[in-house]
Amino acid sequence: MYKNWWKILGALLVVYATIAGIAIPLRPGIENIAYGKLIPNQPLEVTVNGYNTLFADDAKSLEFYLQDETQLLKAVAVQPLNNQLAKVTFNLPAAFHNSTLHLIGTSANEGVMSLSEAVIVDQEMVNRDQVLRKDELSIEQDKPKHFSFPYKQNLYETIRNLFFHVPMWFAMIVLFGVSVFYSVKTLSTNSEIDDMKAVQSVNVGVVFGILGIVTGAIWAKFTWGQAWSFDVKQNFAAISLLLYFAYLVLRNAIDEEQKRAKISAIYNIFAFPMMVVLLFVLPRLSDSLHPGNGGNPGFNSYDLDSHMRLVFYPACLGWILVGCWIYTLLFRVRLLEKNNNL
Amino acid sequence: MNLLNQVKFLIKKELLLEWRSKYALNGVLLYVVSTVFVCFLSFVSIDKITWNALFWIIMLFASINAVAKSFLQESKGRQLYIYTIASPLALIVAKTLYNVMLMTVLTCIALLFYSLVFGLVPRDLPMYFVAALLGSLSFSTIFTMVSAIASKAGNGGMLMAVLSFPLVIPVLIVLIKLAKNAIDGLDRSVSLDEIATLLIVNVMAGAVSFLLFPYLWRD
Repeated sequence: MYKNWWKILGALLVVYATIAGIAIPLRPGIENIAYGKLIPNQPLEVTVNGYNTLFADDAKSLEFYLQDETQLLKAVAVQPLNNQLAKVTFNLPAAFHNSTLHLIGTSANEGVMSLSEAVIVDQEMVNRDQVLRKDELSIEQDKPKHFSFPYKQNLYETIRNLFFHVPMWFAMIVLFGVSVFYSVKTLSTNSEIDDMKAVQSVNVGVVFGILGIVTGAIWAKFTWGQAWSFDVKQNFAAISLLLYFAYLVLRNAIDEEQKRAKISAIYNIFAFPMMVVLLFVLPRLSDSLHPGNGGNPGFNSYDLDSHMRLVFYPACLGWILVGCWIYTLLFRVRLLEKNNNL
Repeated sequence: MNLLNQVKFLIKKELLLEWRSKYALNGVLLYVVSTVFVCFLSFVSIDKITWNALFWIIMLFASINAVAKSFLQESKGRQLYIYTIASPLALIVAKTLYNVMLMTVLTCIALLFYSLVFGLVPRDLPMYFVAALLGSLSFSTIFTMVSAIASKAGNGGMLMAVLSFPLVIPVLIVLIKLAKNAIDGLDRSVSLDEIATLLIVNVMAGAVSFLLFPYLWRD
């Protein structure tokens, strides 16, 4: 029991991350807006469609703003229809003509929600008599009011996949690292046990790699439109899995055990740096749809906020520990089988 | 000095053997020439991207055929003899260097013939030449080691392809990108990243194979 604390920790972390990752709600956000009738020199009326919002319950403190780089314009009237819909009226000054405006909503209970590039102003919308005014946001910026995940345009609820997709890759890398460690050891000790450890950790690592590709494909289907989007990272992940399939094929091709241990250990050590190049060097040279590549900001600054970190880091650690646990189990089963056969 | 001498003699031996049979050079040359010709007959006119991809595919298969024989073709008795008189490190260094030489010659001839037949010359020919040289360098370092592994594992050719393709794909991707830059005649500073990556991969593959080969040769 005392020795197995890390297995219990891993299992608990995975259970925590799975439940928290699925159950915790998204922050309120603005899904889209619809314009009312466009009459020149009249106030602009838009219907705001919210997600996870409580417009009606928060009616008193609900405020909407339109914003571009320099100016902020407060709505003249806000009328919630129900919790998801609100009618908002703006008096657009002529100075806003031809600019692209972001819509920002604030309320006392829900904090700030926004829709970027919500309104592109044309001639019909502006009110010539209206002069430019500078309003200021009345609510403190961006402090979420309760434990929740950010609402992101085009990610929506799939943002939770971060807690499942990314930890798979971390677990895979750690398991392949373990396997290389035991392969190096095999070369110096010539022990069958070390070889068995190396191959079992590759087996588990390959399963995690496949899970990573599958979760990634589901995510890609939703956000990029195609399960296989020919993104560099997708392709390279598939190729690095091929490397390890080749390793397993090589093992099957050799019958003699000592020889198999040695040769496959050598191939494993030869393949590992190639996998590192594939997964960590090459994607940085070309454009990728993944965050953190091709000039996109890395995901720490991009969509990991403090609440997501509280689930994401435990998820990574938990899946790594569970991966190692599965590998030790497989190794022990194989050892028992071998001893039985003797 | 001892190691250098051994390497020198081993390379000399490889060259001598090659000169006597002329199998590899002639065989692979014929392979490249006929493949290029078949491609020309089936494509006739071709755009730049296909031209580039086709060249690297032809080179990939030619180099697999050329390099695979370095270990697969040696008889057990001769291997044993070499191991008793030379260090394994000298052997792998010599084989790799010899393969680099062989591949460089082959790539130059292939490139010349290929651009002659298709009548398409890359805008930045020196840069394309650098890409071809880097390609032959990377193919030979990677394939030499894999051919050693495959020859030890027993069933040669099939295993050679299975083991080496995933290893060489990352290199091939960078090579194709570099060569594409040269075809389009982009500014040379654009390609520095790719050249550096290729050199690093080569140094890495070379270092790992020199480190590992001494473990591999003993049965």
